[in-house]
Amino acid sequence: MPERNYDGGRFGDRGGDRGGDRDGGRGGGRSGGGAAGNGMDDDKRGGRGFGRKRVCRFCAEKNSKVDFKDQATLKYFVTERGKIIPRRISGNCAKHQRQVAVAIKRARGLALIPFVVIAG
Amino acid sequence: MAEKQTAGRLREYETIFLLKPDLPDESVDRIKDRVREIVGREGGKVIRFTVWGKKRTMYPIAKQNRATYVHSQYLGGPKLVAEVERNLRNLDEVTRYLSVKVADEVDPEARPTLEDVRLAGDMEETRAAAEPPEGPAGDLEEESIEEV
Repeated sequence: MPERNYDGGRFGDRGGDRGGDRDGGRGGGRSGGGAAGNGMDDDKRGGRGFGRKRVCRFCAEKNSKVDFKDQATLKYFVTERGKIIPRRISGNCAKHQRQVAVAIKRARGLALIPFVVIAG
Repeated sequence: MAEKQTAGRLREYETIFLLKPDLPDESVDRIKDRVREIVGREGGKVIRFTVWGKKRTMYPIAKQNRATYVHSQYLGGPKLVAEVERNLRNLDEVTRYLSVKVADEVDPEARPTLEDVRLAGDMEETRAAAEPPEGPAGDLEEESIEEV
């Protein structure tokens, strides 16, 4: 199941080194809340070990702007297949997710980012 | 958007266009100058041209896997953008273009014209694999010049 990789890998380890303390807090809350629904919850969030709502990275960094020319940043918001990562996974706020989506589409037109990546 | 332009204020735009990869530097400069001339003629102001150099495209454009990217920033009105795009469309060397408004109501005095920049492009294609056809010797030579 290679699809799982995109969020599990990339965003998983980013979150991991950042929110040690928050993770602890959440883990406690969750084990109290849903022992039975645990497996289902994991399925819904698209993978184990990933479910924390992240802070929008463009909001967190005040002077960062969404730029369609910045391939390196946009890469974080597309899957290996070239699809746009949904907000619930990337953690972007609505405003910035909209901007990111437009930026990705512009970048695709200029061949900075692929439309599709054929698995090979 | 229907906001009124205050007199003397212009909008800032950026236009990126892709050129066929096998163009010599002179042709790139020629196209650059042509855009510069149009912007001047239509009452705009060029801020900067940045030639990103030859870059790998993520999918073939005009049957090529590479393209020369040129990024231009300028001030002007909406008519200017239409004119620039019309000219780019007419040039055979230009394979893609994209214009975006960066800012409204920019004071032309506040944005000086900057020196043109030329970037080397990406070196990825020097690493074999990606580029099977074309004369390998000529290709390498070209790359080494870019690296300097």
